[in-house]
Amino acid sequence: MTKLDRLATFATLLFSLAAIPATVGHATASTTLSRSIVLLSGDGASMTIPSAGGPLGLTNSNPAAVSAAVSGTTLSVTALAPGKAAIVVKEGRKTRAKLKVTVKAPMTVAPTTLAVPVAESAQARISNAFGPVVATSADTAVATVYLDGESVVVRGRAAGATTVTVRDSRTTAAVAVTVSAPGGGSGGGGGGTVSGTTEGRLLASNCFQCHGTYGSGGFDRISGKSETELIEELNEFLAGGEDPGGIMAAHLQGYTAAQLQAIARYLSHP
Amino acid sequence: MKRRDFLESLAIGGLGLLVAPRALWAEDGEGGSALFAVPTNTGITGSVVVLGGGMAGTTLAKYLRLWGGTGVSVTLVEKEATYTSNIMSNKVLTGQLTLPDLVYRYDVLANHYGVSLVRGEVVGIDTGARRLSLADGSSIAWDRLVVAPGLEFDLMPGMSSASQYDTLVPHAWKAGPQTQLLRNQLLALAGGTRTGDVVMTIPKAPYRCPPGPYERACVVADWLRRNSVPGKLIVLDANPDIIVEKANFAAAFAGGSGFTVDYRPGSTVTRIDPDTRTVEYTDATGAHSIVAGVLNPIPPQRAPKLLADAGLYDPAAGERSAPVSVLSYESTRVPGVHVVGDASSTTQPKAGHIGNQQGKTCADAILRALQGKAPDPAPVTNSACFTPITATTATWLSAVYQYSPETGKMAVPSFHNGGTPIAATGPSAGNYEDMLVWFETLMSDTFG
Repeated sequence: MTKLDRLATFATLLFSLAAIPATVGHATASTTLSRSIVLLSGDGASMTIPSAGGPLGLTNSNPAAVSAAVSGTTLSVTALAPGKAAIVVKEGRKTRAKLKVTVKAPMTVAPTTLAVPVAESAQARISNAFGPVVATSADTAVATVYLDGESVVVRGRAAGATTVTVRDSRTTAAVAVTVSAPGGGSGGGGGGTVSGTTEGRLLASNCFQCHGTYGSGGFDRISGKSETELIEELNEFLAGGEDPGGIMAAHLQGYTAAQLQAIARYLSHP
Repeated sequence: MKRRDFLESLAIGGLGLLVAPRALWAEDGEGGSALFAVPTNTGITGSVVVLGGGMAGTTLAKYLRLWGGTGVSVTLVEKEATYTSNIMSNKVLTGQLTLPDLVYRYDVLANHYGVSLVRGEVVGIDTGARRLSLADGSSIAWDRLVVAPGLEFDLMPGMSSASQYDTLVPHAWKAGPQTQLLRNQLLALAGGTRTGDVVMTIPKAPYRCPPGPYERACVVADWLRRNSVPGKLIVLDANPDIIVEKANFAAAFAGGSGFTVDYRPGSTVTRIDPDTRTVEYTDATGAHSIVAGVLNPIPPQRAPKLLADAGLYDPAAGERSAPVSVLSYESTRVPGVHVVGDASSTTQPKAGHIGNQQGKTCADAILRALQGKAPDPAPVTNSACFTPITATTATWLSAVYQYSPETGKMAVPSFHNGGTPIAATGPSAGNYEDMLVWFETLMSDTFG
């Protein structure tokens, strides 16, 4: 099943609401049906009311948000504007159905244009998402994309332009993305030049998988601090004063004190 | 919109469970790596050809230029236009990521670090003439060659063709179309067009990514439970027990994270039928057979035949990967040829994080050799492996490997937890966030 199929399944779920109470359509007079539904403005939905055959009347707590009408044993609602409404259908004095309707505004994504350098990220906010959200990049060679909470994060891959499409179950929004070349050889994100010393370099490169090339980022930047400061920080991890039981404390156990000293010396002037 | 509302609106979708990854970097971090210039003044000159642009080969190519400078010419030969990360690919199975999220390009390697890219499939390694033959009939000469091709997959007993992995019973142990196929098959279970249990088989160690199969069992079982998909997850493990992070995986299998896994250790697969999704196996109690709803055999793995043909390992002697000196990753069979990553035979796990460090170690050794120097006599490598257990929690495993002059091998030293890797005390949401920082930074140190 593709993503689109899943979205279709979702839409079917949403609009088959009428089918659900149909199974209790000939229920006894004591039945009260309670349902809730989420709609976008302009959507309609209907449901069958369990009734003993008498005339049905309704109350609508928020006619500005939802219009509701009952015809025979069918309740029809139309979403008008964002808001919530409680629809109660009665047969005489007996309550036969309660329907809570939430009307949502369509999803929006802002800003609709993003500029990002290669190997860096920028994000746009998603508001009012409805159902599963899928974000895709038209050209993953230029930029890739992933969802982070209610943000869509765009990462530059190569200079160029592409469009990122954000889709929830009902709405599609586009973000125009421009990716610029990484700056001037020394790169973005705190890059720069290094001394080129080889003493301790290979040993210290064990840190780069988690702290970035030359200790330039990742969990945190570890290059450019003094040797003393780095040793103090490492000792704090080892003593359990910093993130006790964490992976850094575990990892440090694998190095000798002399190796940690050599790593700190190198990282102070990589 | 508050996060909680957002998640609620997501939950309406039922099957469309799609939990967004959390922030990929820490508050005080720079987010991945910075780019650094290739130096012009190292005085080192030479030329290196690298076969294979995975985690080890790409890191090696980058660091040869970053450390060696503009005088070291590096050519990377790779069959594919892009790399798809195996790490995190189990999250494609659960719909938390899509395959394009895991695609990495060689642009920075080529444009920033000045590595020459050759896209092509190598079909022969002539160690006498020092030439690679490519499928298109061209060839590439080398002064020094590094082979980093990853692994090939055995056919499971009963299978007639590797194409059955592509169409019927995906192993998905190399991220790509098979990962999507396995995802689709799981969705078919959820949608009711398939019925039955999910059966996964694990080969005898060593295989790529020791915790990987157990991780996959956990996240798929978690997905089955969260989406109320009928059917359970059965793991047939050829190993006598969980081979890594046993406490964490055993607790999860037993229900500690809300799902359960039917784990059957010591199970040797004797035959599978890809068409009927039948798996036959034996264990201590006898012979058994299961007809699966989804069958995911993870096959035994070996270095590509190309390496055996070049004399880098000897299948006739029972070898399945290439022996190397772990000081330089130079082949012990063919001088001047190095093997890094999963295709090399060492005491270290076959995995991306350690492949990255092997690439750096090999790059350093080659640069020293180009200056007439011996390799670093005391190399260290490390494995920091984060593992999702559910859609929101993860564990980790830490191991540091030191060179032992006595054995000539890499080993976890006695002062590191008595020579044993250290695992997280259990799955947590904090570990899950750390996992995403780790992944982003590891990939950035490799491809960025």
